Amino acid sequence: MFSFAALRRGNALRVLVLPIASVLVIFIPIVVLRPNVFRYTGLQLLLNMTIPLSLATVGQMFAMSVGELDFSMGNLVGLVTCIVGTVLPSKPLLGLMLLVGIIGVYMLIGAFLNVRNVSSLVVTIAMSFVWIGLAVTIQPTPGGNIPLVIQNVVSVDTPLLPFPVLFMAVLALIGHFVLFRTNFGILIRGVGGNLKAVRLAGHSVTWIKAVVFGCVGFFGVLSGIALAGITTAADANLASTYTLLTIAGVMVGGGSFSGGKESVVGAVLGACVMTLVGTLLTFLQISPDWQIGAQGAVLLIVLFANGLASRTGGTKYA
Amino acid sequence: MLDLKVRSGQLKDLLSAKWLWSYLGAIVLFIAICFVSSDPWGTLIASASFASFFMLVGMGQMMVITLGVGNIDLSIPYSIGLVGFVSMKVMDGTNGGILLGIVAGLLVAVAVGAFNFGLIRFIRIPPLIATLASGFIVQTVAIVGFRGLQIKPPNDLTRFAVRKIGGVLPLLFVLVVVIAIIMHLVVTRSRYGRYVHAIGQNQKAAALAGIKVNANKLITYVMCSFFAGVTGILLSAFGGGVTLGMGHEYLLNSIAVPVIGGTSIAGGDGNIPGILGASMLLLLILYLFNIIGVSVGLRYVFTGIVILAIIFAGSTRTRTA
Repeated sequence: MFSFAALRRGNALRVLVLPIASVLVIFIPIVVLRPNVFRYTGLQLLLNMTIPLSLATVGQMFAMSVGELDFSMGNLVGLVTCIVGTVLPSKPLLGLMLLVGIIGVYMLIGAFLNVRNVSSLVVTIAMSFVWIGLAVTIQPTPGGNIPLVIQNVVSVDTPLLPFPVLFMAVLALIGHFVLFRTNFGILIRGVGGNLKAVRLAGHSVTWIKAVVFGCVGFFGVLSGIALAGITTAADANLASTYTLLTIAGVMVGGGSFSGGKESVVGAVLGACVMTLVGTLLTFLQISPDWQIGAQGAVLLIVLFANGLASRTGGTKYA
Repeated sequence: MLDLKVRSGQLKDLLSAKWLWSYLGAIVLFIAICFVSSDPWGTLIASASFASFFMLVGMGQMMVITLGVGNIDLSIPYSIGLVGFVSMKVMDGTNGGILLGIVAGLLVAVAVGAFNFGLIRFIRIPPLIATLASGFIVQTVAIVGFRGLQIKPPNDLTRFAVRKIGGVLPLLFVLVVVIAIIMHLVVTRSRYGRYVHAIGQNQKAAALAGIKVNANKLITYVMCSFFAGVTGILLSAFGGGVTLGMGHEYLLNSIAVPVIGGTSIAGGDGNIPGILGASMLLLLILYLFNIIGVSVGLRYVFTGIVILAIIFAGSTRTRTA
């Protein structure tokens, strides 16, 4: 129902069918191998790690929807776990200010990208040094003391469906609504799709990019909080793979580098795929050593299928 | 300062040399080191040793970036690790195996580069994602095939990697500078160098002008992996063995080096001289803070801020902001 906008643009195959098919291709063998998974607790355990990854992926999706990238996402999420585990318990006010400050910095980055016309790749690479540096300064060795409230929230027992499933459904629906049904969402997609048109219509692209990057930071912060709650650890390197996994997730979910084609539903499903690949390997009793390679292979296969499905896909840089 | 000079117009030529900023930064850092270090020249030479590796990966990445918007190689850190493992395994610690090990390692590097290009060309995946995915796969091969492998590099190779000319100047650094000079000539004088720039500036126009776009791209991606492979072998020799995470710091630094050195991230404008300045700059930051006794974390933060400052200095205000 909520995919009408996407359907009309002829993108349903790319943003819905293929991501869902990818999830099923990985999920069905898991259920066949371990039927117990398809129960309340099973699903909860299976999908727990998709909560932080899908939040970070949605953040990355915002960046990519305006044709930019956040190459510092992994280090940002790591930093947030450090703030949550070290600063927040002892100095709650300072901790909150830091988290809000991060979002502020992100808004500045967004504005900076447009005003100085620089590449987001380079700027966020520089920022990733800043984030990891701050994280190591706050929490030199893994540890910390994650507030119980956060731990309880991420493992709450919700009625009917397990929390991760509900969470992702709500995240996807709200995100979809914001992106496809609000003026702001239209502007974002406009910046990605046709920057000049948005500018000529009298909108400040600087301001839009600032807000979009504020969203990137906001979801990155949420992801870090969730990750800290689930792993009960504060560690600068906890999420070092997130930068690449989130980009991969957005791509699996039908996104593109030129922007304007992203879908929150796709991003959440993409994050699901990336997490479940690892689980499937475990259940197939294949060494976790193969996990990263399998994630890479899945990414290639999905993109290959995407390219076949929409002849226009992926040609821009080829 | 920048604005003043541009307005005066006199130093425009000098300023158009974008590599200048990296050298200025490196010189400022070295002056700072002179104040705090008991042995500033020793520090300079130590940074030069490590700068060799930054330069090698930086040059490869620079050629790829110069191919135009979207072109980038994220598989570098994993190629470094895999090639290190393969070559050390083949050498098996014997001096007799050095040549064979180098050949085997570099063949692997060339294969990775060709695979990267194949993904971009035939599956039509954007380079960033293609090299990311191939990096994942390369890393897995390294993990599955070689984890726990502890083979010391052959003595002769290690001696070569740490040798200092006259007991002072690192041989490795001198060789890499020679390679850089050759690369500079390749970029500015050779047909290939001009083709790469033409492709980076306007791929369609380049193709219409009869330039074999794909062949030149293939060469460039293979060259980038090749440089990563050389780095992998030398790093293994330099550090006394291979570790899986050996190449990790080169993911971000391989991109930071050309960008600080004045290479346009949008492509079509490469710059080899800046590679040396930028590599020295990044290493001197680390050494300066090391000497002052600043923590690792703050060193990273400062590195990030320096990169941001250089991007800011090198960027221009858009007209329609």
